[in-house]
Parts: sequence; C-alpha cells; structure tokens
Amino acid sequence: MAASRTTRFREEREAGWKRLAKLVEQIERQGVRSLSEEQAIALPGLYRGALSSLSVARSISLDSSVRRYLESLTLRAYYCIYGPKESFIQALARFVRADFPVAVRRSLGPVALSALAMILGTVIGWWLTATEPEWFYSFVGAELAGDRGPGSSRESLRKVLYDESGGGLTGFATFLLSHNTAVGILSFALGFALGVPSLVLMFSNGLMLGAFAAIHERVGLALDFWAWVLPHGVPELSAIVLCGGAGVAMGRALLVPGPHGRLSRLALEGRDVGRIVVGSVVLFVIAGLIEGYFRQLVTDRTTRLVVAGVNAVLLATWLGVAGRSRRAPERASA
Amino acid sequence: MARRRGALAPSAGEGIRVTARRASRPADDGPRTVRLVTPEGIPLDLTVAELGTRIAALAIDLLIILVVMVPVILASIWLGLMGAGEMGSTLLALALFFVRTFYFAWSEIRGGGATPGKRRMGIRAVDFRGGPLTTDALFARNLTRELEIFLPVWAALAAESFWPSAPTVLRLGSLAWVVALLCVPLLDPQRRRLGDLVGGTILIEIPPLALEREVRGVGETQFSEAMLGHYGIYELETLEEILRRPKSDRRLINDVAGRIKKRIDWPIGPRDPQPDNAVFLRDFYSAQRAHLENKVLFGVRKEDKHDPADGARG
Repeated sequence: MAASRTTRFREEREAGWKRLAKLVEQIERQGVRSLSEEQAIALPGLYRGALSSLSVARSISLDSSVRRYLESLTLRAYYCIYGPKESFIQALARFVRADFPVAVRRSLGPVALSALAMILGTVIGWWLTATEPEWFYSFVGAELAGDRGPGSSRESLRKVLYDESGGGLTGFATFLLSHNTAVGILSFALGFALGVPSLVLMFSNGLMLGAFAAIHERVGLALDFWAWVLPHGVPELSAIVLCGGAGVAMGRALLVPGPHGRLSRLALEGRDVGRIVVGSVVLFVIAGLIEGYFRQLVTDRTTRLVVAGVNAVLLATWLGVAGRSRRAPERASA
Repeated sequence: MARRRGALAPSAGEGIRVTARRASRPADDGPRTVRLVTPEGIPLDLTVAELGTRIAALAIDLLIILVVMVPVILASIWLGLMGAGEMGSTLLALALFFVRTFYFAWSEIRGGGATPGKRRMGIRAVDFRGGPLTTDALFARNLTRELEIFLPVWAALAAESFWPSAPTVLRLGSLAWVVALLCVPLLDPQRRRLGDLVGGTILIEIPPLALEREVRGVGETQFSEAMLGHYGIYELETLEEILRRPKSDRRLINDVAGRIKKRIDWPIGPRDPQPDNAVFLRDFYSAQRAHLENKVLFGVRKEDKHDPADGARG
C-alpha cells in the first residue's frame, strides 16, 4: 500500500525533524552561541535532511500536516542558520572603524555641496549683518538669540562666551532636544523631497552662524566667538553638513535612479545614507558633551582654539583615512 | 493559516529551481506570499505579516520600553524631590533617547530579526531578497523609525526652535509627512514601511512548529477502486482537517459520512452493514490517501472532484 510508503517515510525521518526542531527553538530563544559543539556540528546535516524531506513530502505525500510542519521547520531553520553573523557590539565596532568613514567618502559630492551651501550662508550672513545689523533678526530666531543682538554691549556678549552658569548636565540635556540635532535630521529627511530643501536648510543655518559672528565682530570679540563655537562646533557643524549631504544624496537617488529603479536605488543609497546619519548623531552626542562640560572647564581662548583645531584634524583623519586599507564593506547583502 | 491550494501544493512538475538566489517575487496566490529560494535550491513560501499583527507587536515592545523606563522615571522623580531636578530631567531625557533608539536595533539583532514583541506575535523581519539578514539592514530599518515618528512629531510641535521663519508650513509639512509615511505600508503589496524599504527587509509570519499525529484508518472498512476514484486532493485535505479536530461534532461526522457514501455509491440499503461513521471516515481517508498518493507517484494529480485527472490538466 502506498500509504505505508509515506508513512514509512515519516517514521524514518521524524526523529531527525524533532531533533532539528529542538535545536531551532533553542537557537531562537538563546542564540546560536548557546549550542554545544556536537549540536553545532549536527545542525547543517539536520537542516539539509529537513530540506530533502520537504522536497520528498511535496512530491509524494498528501498528509498536509507533515507538509505544513516541514515548511515551517525548514523556514525557521533557514533563518537560524543564515541569520546575522555578528553581534551588536561587533557591528558597532565595524561601523566606527570602517562603515561610517567609507559611507561619507562615497557621498563626497553631496557632502561637499552641502558644505558649500553652509559656507556660502555663513559668508553672506556675516557680510549682510556687518553692513546692516538689523539683518540679524531675520537670520536668528528669538530663542536661539537669547539676549544677544546687534545692540548688545561687548560686556554682555563677553559674559556669555566665558561665563556659562548652569552648564554641565543641563547643557547636555538641552542638546538632545536642541536646534542642531533637529536641523541635521530634518535636512536628511528633506532629502526625500529631492535634496533642494536640504541645501536651503544648510544655507539658512550658515546665515545664522554668520550673523552671530558679525555681531561679535562689531565689538571686537570675533576670535573669542569662534573659540567659543568651534570646540563643539567642529563635530556639530560637520554633523549638520553630513546630514545635509545625506539629504542631497537621497534626493539624487530619487531623481536619478539609474538602471535598477527607484526603490532599489533608495535601498542601496539608504543603507549608506543611514550610516551617515547615525554617525552624525554620534557626532552630535560628542558635541553635546563638549558643549556641556568642556566649555565650563576651559575658558582660555587659545586652549579652546587649539582643542578645536585638534578636533578638526582628528575628524578629518578619521573620515579621510579610516577603513581605506580594508575592502570596502558591501552596500547591500546581495 | 488560509488554505490556499497553491501554497500547500506547489505544482509537483515544477521541481527544484536551479538558480541559487533570485529576487523574491510574489507567488501565484497573490502578493501576500513571497517565494524565496534557499541556497540549496529549495523554494520556500513566506507569508507577509498582517498590519494588525505588526501593530500588536509594536504595542508590546512599547510596553516593554515603558516598563524598563519605570525605574528611571522613579529615579528622576526622586532626584527632583531631592532638589536635583535638572539632573533628574536630564537622566530621563538621556535614558529615553538611548532606550528608544537602541532597544529595537539591539533586540532585533540579538533575536535574529525579532524583538520580544514580534516574537510573541510570531513574526520576524527577514531580507526581502531571501538572502541572509545583516546587522546593517536591522540597524537601517530601526533607525529609520526615528525619521518616521520622532522627527515629524518634533517638527510639528516645536518647529520654531530651529527655523525662525515659516513654522506653519513646516507643521503642515510634517503632518503631511506622517500621513505619507503611513501610506507606504498600506500601498505596498508586501506591507513594507519606509524602514523596510531602506533596509531591504520584510516582515513575515513564522508559523508554529506542531507536528500532528498521522490520521490513520482502523482497517475495518474496504473500498473498491471505483469508490476511491471520485474525490481529489482538495477533498482529501478537507477531510483530514475535519478528522484532526479535537472534538468533532457528531452531526458533522454523520453529515460528511452521509455525503461521501452517497457520492461513492456505498451500499446504504437497510440490510447493508453500516460501520460507525467516525471509523468509516478514518478508513476512507486512509484508503483515499493511499489511492491518490499512488496516482501521484505516477505523475497524475487529481486536484479535486471535478478534475478529470487523465494527465491533461495540472
């Protein structure tokens, strides 16, 4: 009787399936590392056995319970075996060491464009405010300006630069909800609107910076202002520019998808661009720490400038050199 | 699980695909099933997870985050009472930021594509093209959530803090953004949200692992070849499902048995012996299955009772 053929098939193979099922459940609960040596050695064989059972069952068995069982067993085993190959920490380390710098270098064009927009904004903002101080109010929002403005005296501005009371952790807390992180992420998001708003945002941010610089320059505090801004400004402004570049890159991906279609291009570009944004967030955190702690501890102008310079060099080295000697990480898994 | 014929019985003539890995495409029964081919060459069918299930999984995860945050919230309240209010609120903001950002990514990487919430609901994230799941993809799909939820909410509520001009446009824009992003999974046949598109993943259902005992006949009843030639595979599987129910309604059994007897011309005269209907059904199932499997071995599949099964179709 043919039924006994499939019945025999099931009887012979069922033990292997049950073993595999136990292993699969263990891996799903506790990860692949929890397997003992013999279990790990047995796993591929059991998996292939289940796959072959599935093929046979599909061809000759009409017991739908067996087929359903084998379909789900092989599916789950497939994902246990072909799961992510590295841990969270390893992925983080790889990110810092190679992924982020390489992603930045790959989007060098958009990032440069974004930097250009910000620099242009800064120069124009500075120049306009220097000539006509009332421009300051168009460029800088009331909350960001605080008490500062074109009419502020040298003393009041000086106080802000050197006498930060209530800093420390509060500064850090406000970072999280602050201006620059939001600008960074916003400019990335605007990339989906084809990149132009990202550039506009870079430009307007530059305007703001330039305006601030100008009012300090009027009272002779230009260098002090830059010494105040740059230690945390180097990572922060770089992060903003990177996010802007990410936005432009996304816009470019949407505009010029290439041979694979928009969705594929989005996924491909998105992987890189996502890395840039994540790295930028890290830079924002660092900037926040500097803004919160460093600024109180160090008030000497020269030291601040030196630290800013060191920051800039480190950042440039990391982004320019890291990850070069290795093979570039793949953009997509396939 | 819906009983779709295609999903349960991929055509026997198809065999094993030679290409090791190709782009997933919706299987013939519609876009909610995606077929991938393993590196060993075996096609597997994946069922895309329903949106409702995903929302439930998200709710569970948010609950877990809330539970994790409770000690932090208590600590920050305590700090506030002790006079270090600022430190308390900083702690809260920091903790919220890190927990929110890293819980999903970390737990998905650790759980092979499933957060605790997803595991509870029986779904997981997998690579759309059927390849291995990379940490990159999991990072990407989770960090995009910041973009989908956090940013628009932020922009809608506190736009003035970073853009002095045009706040109203921004508010409307971010509302439009949220709506647009909500539409993405609704419109995509595989129910992918923005994070899935960027990370190249989809969410599928993971069916439970339960092997039921074979439905066996008792061997009391005999059937002739002619009697077994009426029904096809579809009816067989339906019968199997009825027989597997833990508590079968007596009326249903009698009803089904009656219909089968009528169809196969089982002698039901007043003087013919009538076996117990449950036993009858089991024996019939067993014999029918043997008959059909024999036919399948020779390459003839009778899909249902209307199928002529002369090799012309299927």
